[in-house]
Amino acid sequence: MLKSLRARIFGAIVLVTIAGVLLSLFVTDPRIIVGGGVFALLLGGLLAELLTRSLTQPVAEIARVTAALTAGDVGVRLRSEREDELGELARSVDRMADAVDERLARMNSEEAQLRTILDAMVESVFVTDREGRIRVTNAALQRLAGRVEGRTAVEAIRSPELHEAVGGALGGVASSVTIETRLGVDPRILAAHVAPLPGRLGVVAVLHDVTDLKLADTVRRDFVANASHELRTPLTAIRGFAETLADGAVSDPVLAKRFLGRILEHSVRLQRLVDDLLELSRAESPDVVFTLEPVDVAGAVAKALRGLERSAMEKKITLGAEGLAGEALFVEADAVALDHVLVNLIDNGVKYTPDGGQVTVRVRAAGDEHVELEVADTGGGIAQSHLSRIFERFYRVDSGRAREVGGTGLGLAIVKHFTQRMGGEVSVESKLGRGTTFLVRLRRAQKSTDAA
Amino acid sequence: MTIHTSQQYEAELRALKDRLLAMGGRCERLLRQAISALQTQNVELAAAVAKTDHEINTDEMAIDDLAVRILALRQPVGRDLRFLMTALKVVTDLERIGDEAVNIAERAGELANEVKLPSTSSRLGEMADAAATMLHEALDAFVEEDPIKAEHVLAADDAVDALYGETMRATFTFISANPEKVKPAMAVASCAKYTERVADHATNIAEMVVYMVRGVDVRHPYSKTKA
Repeated sequence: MLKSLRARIFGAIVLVTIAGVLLSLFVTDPRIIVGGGVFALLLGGLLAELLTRSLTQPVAEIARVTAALTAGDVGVRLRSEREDELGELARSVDRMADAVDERLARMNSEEAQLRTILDAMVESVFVTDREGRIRVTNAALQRLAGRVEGRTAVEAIRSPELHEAVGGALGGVASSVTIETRLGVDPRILAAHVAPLPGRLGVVAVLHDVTDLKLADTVRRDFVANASHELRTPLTAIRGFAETLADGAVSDPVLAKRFLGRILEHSVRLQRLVDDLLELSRAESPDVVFTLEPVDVAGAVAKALRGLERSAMEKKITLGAEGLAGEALFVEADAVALDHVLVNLIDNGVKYTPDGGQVTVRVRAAGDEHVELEVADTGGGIAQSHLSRIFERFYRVDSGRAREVGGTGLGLAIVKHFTQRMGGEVSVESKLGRGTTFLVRLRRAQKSTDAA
Repeated sequence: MTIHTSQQYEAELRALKDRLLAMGGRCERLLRQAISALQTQNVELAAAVAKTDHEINTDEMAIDDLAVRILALRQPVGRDLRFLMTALKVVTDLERIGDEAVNIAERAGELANEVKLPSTSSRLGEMADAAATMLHEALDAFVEEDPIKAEHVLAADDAVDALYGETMRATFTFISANPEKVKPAMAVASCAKYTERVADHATNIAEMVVYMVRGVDVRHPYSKTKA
């Protein structure tokens, strides 16, 4: 553009020179003719230069601004005040820049929105290009598999099922698969939905972590199986003894007495199991309201210890209590639930401690906020590998021994649920051969005078 | 070579790598399932493991095919050639791992009838976990072309060997004390051996990753061939 204007400068000089020659037809003095010619030549040159500048400068300006816009400097504008076509062009460039600016801002905000939505999702999401390389991920996927952009799906998550699903989706077929994988140390189960992007541009995959769901499902199934098994065992025994009695053993007074004794024994066990199951369902049911009120710890401990005095005496086990003498401590608790927790823990201690041992309850304030109740025994202790599971329903460290001492396998599960319902927590420490200590931590209550 | 064919070539290499990883994932799971079938005396799971083996064999053949095609048509050199050679060897190791898992599953099927598993099986879970983790890490090293991770796998093999030694010693003691339990005890000992071999195969894979990335052969450090 500039080049063609420069070419026109020459044309302008020639035009002006012709004007000078025409003038010379009327003027005869050769000096004037030559002078006029020279003057006309200079004037022409000057005019041409001025004209050219007035044209090239705004065009060069437009070129500079559009170049800056292209380079991404979206703030620059021409702000021309010319009235002519060049001014109109400059204003139209400005308007275009405004429109681009606005559209860019909208796109950025839309992208930020999309990003926020993606990152807020619980599910892990990734999008691949048409070659199967991951291009877009969200925060959940990064937590699951780290930074995997640029990798293929199977490189990120080593699952043959995912590999096949992504391959299928690249070919246009959506599918849902369950994948089991290990990311780090934990096994994870993911439900994946993999679908092709429109136009076969790639694949979008949404992965939902169902590990906990599956686990809960397994726990529930195990519970039903365990409970049925536990209920059936005494029932079978009762029925067996009753049938033997009906078949004639009833007429043998010695046998009859022994069998009736066994029937009684098993029905007591059945009763205890059903009671515990009901207790547990009460602890787990959200419909059951726990009335939390200040409860005197010393009173609760003394009551629980009194109830177990006899069974402790039978095994020559010394029951002890520490920390009851000082300032009275109150906890926020449901009196009945707290009694259950204490009785279960002390009873467990008595059951699993050999004759002549000790079970001690210690009470202490843990700051102004909490009270800690410790139940320590001098029994055989629990191996480290069992400790994390002993609060599970029907989990038994030694099932034979547990049944022998009359455990239902539900005691500690009840303790855990009751404690949690009262806003507290329970933990356990144990050393093999040294004994086990359960620690119940409850919220401390200030003795309220109005409740009294 | 035009851009089109070079892109196609890249895609072929990637497809090969992905298939190899999928196969690795299958092997890892198969090993864990086999040991779990053994520990829980689950006949169904043991039978299922024995059946999945054919998928691994299909993987092996498909990968061999892919590799041979690329070698024949593209005649790769340098790093790509090392990658293909590595892939061909890795696939063999993976296939063997699949076989070992099936062996374990077969022993698990036999042991399912025992009233109680011999106490010598106590470290099997730990061993299988360690071997599966080694396999996983060896393949991680392969994906990330990370020789340091690969060397980590080489170091982990010692732990599995130690567990194997421990299981074998326990087996001798157990059999002398319970001569009537020779059969189940030997089955457990075999499983320990299979698992130990899986760890060896994982070690092989890791060694080949070092070769692939660095071009250095780290196998058999004391028996170098003369050039």
